[in-house]
Amino acid sequence: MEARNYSPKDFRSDIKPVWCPGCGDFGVLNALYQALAKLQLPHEDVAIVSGIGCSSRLPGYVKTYGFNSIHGRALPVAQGVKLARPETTVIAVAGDGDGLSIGAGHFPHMARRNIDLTYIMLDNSIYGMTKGQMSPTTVEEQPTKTTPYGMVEDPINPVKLALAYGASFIARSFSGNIKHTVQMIIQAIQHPGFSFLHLLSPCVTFVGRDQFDLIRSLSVDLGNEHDPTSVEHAWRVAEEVGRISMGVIFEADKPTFEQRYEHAKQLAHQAGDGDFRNLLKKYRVAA
Amino acid sequence: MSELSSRRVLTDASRLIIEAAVRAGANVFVGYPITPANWLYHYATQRFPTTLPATDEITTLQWMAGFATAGKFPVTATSFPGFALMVESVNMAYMMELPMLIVLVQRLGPSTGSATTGAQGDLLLLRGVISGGYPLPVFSPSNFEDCWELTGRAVAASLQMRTPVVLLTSKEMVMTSRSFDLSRLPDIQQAAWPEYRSANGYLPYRAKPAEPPPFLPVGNRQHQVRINASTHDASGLIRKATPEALANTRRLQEKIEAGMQKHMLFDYHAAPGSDTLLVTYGVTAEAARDAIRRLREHGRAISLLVVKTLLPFPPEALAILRRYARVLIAEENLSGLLRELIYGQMTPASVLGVNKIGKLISPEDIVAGYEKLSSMPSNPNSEAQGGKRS
Ligand SMILES: Cc1ncc(C[n+]2csc(CCOP(=O)(O)OP(=O)(O)O)c2C)c(N)n1
Ligand code: SF4
Ligand SMILES: [Mg+2]
Repeated sequence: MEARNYSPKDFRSDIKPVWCPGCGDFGVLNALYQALAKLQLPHEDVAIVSGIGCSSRLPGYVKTYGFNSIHGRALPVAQGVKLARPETTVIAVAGDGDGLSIGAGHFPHMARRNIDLTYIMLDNSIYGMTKGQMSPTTVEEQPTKTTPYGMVEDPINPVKLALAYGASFIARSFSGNIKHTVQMIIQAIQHPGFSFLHLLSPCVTFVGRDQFDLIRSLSVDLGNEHDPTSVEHAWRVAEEVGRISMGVIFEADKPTFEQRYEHAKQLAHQAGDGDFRNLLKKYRVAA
Repeated sequence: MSELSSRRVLTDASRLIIEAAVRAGANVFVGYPITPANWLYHYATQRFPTTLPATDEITTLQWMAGFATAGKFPVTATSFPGFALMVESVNMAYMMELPMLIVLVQRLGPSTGSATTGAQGDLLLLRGVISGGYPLPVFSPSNFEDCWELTGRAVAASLQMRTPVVLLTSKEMVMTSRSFDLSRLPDIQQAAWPEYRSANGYLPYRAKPAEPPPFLPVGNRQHQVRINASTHDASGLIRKATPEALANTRRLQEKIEAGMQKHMLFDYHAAPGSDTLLVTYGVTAEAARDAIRRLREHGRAISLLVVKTLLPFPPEALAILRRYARVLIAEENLSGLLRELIYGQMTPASVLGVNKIGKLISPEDIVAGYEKLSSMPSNPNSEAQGGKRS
């Protein structure tokens, strides 16, 4: 195949995004175009799998393989694709509702399995698509249509969740900082194993434009003193209050599910599984 | 609504359903957002004594089950994707004999389909949703008044039979605002729980034949209550297929068949001399009424049957169907779910469906269907043709 030189716009599909003007998800999309171009990933080597939500519209806007699955199920569909086509770069995209509410059950399992795919969560702390109900990351003082007097439950901390279940790469970025987001997407894709990118991406319609300012005012860069290979450092970041650290929070070298599964397959082969005559022998009854 | 005599307001039916449910005695709403059921959820937040935001639809139904065991009447509103996730839990509530109301607002499928496009695609799902084919009561409002009355009725029926009940509607019915005179709405009585009142020992599933067991809530402080989703005996303990446990399971069917007899609702307008019957339900009824009017203006008499109790299907409505030489069935789906519910795989040649997806069925669609049907052979066995009842 001839070598191609991809620029960001080569990844743009013909469909115009339906997002509200000013939606944070535009920043994510632009960053993704740039990251894919920097990685020079051919269109046919990438599959983007989403659930349902404003954030989950993303695959339609990128010129790669793309799926809109059902609400909450981006991760398991992505897993099927990755295991069937290990050579493909698989990116799962979900919203905070999609990924932390209805689809939350998949998250710890993906983390502990360490399948080599990238999980990007576009967190606006609201249900955007269904017009403004509370989400698992809605904070106490933020009223929503279904919690008009404020939240009476604590928000989920997705970084803690990923860390607790052994995700081998955890990073955070903000769609208002495209340059940083590009960097984080690239590193997440390059990491061998399950990588989780917590991407704060404001909903200007149901949370408001202030969400940009709020995130910006709380953002701090993880400086050089942060060691992403240290679990203790990572927990410190995960548990911080009053600020939001941006960057690679945790990174570990771990065998992937694919590698371990290959090994299990070899053991099965050595034991004679997969051969009908061999299997019959196991069930032979003494005459 | 006596306290609101002749009050015209701009409202949608979501608000009417929520108000009616509360007046009938529902006191807990559990929601998970999904278009086109969100307005019900949002109004519930303002009106129900307790409204709780669940994290998915399985949780929704499970919370509701918990509330129901403790004597609260729970309501939720969803659409196909959410209802699909509720299926196992609806079976659980059915087996446990827990009252609750599920407002199922239909949208275009399959799957996520189109959230903002209405449909009538879930009738046969409801017919088969309880494993074993046990009947789940389903009411379907055909206008604003029905949204009010059938909601009250659904809460009462649910309590009377101790069973989950579905109010089956669709996007345009609950999301269209109209100027509406609230004084047209009758008062709704608060429905009563089938309470256990004896001082004697209590067995949670001891019931008269074809009746639900009398109810005592968890936490009643006098009698032990065991609730069970597996095959169980009168005490609520898991049993294999013993005669007692099977009799209990059989009773689930019998209590609905007996209990629903007083809830067989439909509107029937017989046009004198007509040999054709138009049958429909839900949101399509509005177009049907309009089509009948237009046909009448052109001197064509056609009778109308609007079915409001869809499941179990009213036997009297079947008797009406048999009287006609030609039957037209209008519903917003491709394959004709009501048609299949009535005729199975053996739709007679004298029956025609008016079917469509992606857009409301219009009066014109129905008039065109009528014209096509008129040129088709009629049923020689119908009572209108002097045939015998079969
Ligand atoms: C089973 C099911 N329940 C509910 C819905 C309705 N629904 C669509 S998107 C969504 C949540 C959107 O919120 P989020 O995942 O945070 O994405 P956002 O729109 O904010 O990007 C919901 C509840 C659905 N499609 N399927
Ligand atoms: S509703 Fe919010 S998340 Fe959805 S497109 Fe609009 S701004 Fe973005
Ligand atoms: Mg969101």
